[in-house]
Amino acid sequence: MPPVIHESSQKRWQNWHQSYIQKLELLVDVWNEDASQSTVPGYIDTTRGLQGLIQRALTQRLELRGLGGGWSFTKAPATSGILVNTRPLNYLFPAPRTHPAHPGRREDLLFTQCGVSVAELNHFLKRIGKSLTTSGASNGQTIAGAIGTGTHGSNLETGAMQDFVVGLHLVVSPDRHVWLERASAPVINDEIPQKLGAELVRDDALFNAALVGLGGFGLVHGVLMEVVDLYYLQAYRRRMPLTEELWRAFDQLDFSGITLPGPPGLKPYHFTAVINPNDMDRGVFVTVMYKHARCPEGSTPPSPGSKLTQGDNGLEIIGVLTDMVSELTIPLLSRLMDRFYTEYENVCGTHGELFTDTTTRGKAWGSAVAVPLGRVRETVELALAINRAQPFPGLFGLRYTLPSRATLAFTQHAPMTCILDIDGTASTRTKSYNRRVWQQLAKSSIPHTYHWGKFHELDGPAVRGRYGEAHVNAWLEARRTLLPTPELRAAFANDYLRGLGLA
Amino acid sequence: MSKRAAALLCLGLSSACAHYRVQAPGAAGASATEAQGEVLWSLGWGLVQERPRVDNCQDQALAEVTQSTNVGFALISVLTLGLAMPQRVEWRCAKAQPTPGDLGVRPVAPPATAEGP
Repeated sequence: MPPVIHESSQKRWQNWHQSYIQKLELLVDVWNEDASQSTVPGYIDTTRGLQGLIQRALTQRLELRGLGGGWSFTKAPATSGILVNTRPLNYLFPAPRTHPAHPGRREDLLFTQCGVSVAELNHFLKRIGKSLTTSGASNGQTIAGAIGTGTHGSNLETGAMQDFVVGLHLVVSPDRHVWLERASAPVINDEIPQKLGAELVRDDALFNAALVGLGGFGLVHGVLMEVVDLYYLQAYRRRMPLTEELWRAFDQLDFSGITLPGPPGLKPYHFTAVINPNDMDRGVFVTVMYKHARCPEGSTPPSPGSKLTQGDNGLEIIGVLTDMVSELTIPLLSRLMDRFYTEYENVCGTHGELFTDTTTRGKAWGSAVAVPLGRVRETVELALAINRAQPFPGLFGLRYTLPSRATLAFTQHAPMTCILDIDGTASTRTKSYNRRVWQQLAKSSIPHTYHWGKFHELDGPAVRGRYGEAHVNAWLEARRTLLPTPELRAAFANDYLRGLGLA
Repeated sequence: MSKRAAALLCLGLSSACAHYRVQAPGAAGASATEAQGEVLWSLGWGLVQERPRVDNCQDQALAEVTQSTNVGFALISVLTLGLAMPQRVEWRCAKAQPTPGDLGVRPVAPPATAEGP
């Protein structure tokens, strides 16, 4: 039975964070025909439905875009043509049969449809005793949207979300859909793509390019991911003076000079900082989480229902606060932080229980720049100096991740990438402040890249300069291979990709 | 911008100055659809109340409902002494909760349990 394709009458679409409104030709919701049970025939029928939408776009010479949570600040998911809302597509297929060469357990694999949200994943995985290795601080994104823009957490042992993905099912034309994975690490048993009617393509370059595909590689219908046994995080947040030793921790992840909150001798699994640049005399907030097989005795569970939760970062703080007050001034931000973003000790829960935010909206505006370890202090001091000259009501966040194998991942800096989030209210002051930081960074020698889903002012030459000629060329070549005709490439392009020189 | 200026600007330009949003907590709050809405009228001091036509949720529940008003709606309510009271209501549908499936090649053996038969 074909999927239910509901055509909306609305001709305008707004992203989740309400940073822009896009005029469009058509918005469609795609629902599996039987939404109550994950079935292979239902999945295959939905693939055909997506192919029909691609045919319609080609016939009418319209662009086509898959829409996930709409969580991006940038116009990555926006189109003036057909916007395909994939959020209702949330089939789950745990433990698929694996390729004989795959060294892992099939129980550690989960195949899902594109529209499964990170929150849904956390919920389902806990029920079967499993967990994601990482996710962003908020979890309203869909899996396809999260990986497509390179969403990351601050887990010191893994990369960003796309780095736990080991297979992609891409619908690339009205008569072709492919199962893509690495040739160097085949995972799925050949029978499964056959059963889905997909062409099996094992190619490292294609797979790495399509991982952070910015919606430009066709419609991502399915994602195969590696998950891990359920673990618990013992979490602490403390306000600490910004000493030379803490700077060294931020810059090098060298914790030898400081006493981190929590039990001594344990290596942090998650480490992040939130800095209010206008209130540094009272210190900065450091959040540390330690991984355990079960919660240590004496720990307390996270409190559901509080406005800000243990895993929240700068963007969630600003989002929650701007939902409460329309105008966030520098003194008011400090006062509200005192009230709502507080220290805590020995709180323990699963990954999904600590990173719970599906509701943040508000009028937040944020950018994120990634730099290698060793250049973190220089970057933060550059941002602080600009704030001294032109203070803005906002926060800095520092998060860390291993470099990604995805061709255009912005978290690409070895040996470890630090992401400086700069989040504030959606005001002229915040935008102007960010622009100054970007200008100063461009003049500096600091290698840096920008989050695709947060604000930036990259153009074609800047993308090539920041992400590397070889990476950009490899990404474009992979796109030409998967979308071999100019018509297909035009259908899966949008203003965002054209502006970046990636269409 | 001062609070007074912000309030004046809001009044002057407003399409919706006050929102009340109810969203299901946790995973249930991750909606399946974009916001869809309509203006509903309460007439005759509540004698006639319009109901929204929710036709896009495919038998699923609602994940979120937002009620908004603006200065125009408030004026209508005041000038008609409450005879006519418009409100804008928007909703987002909840996601289905499908049971997990099997890709169809040899089922996974159930895990051994400590409890015997």
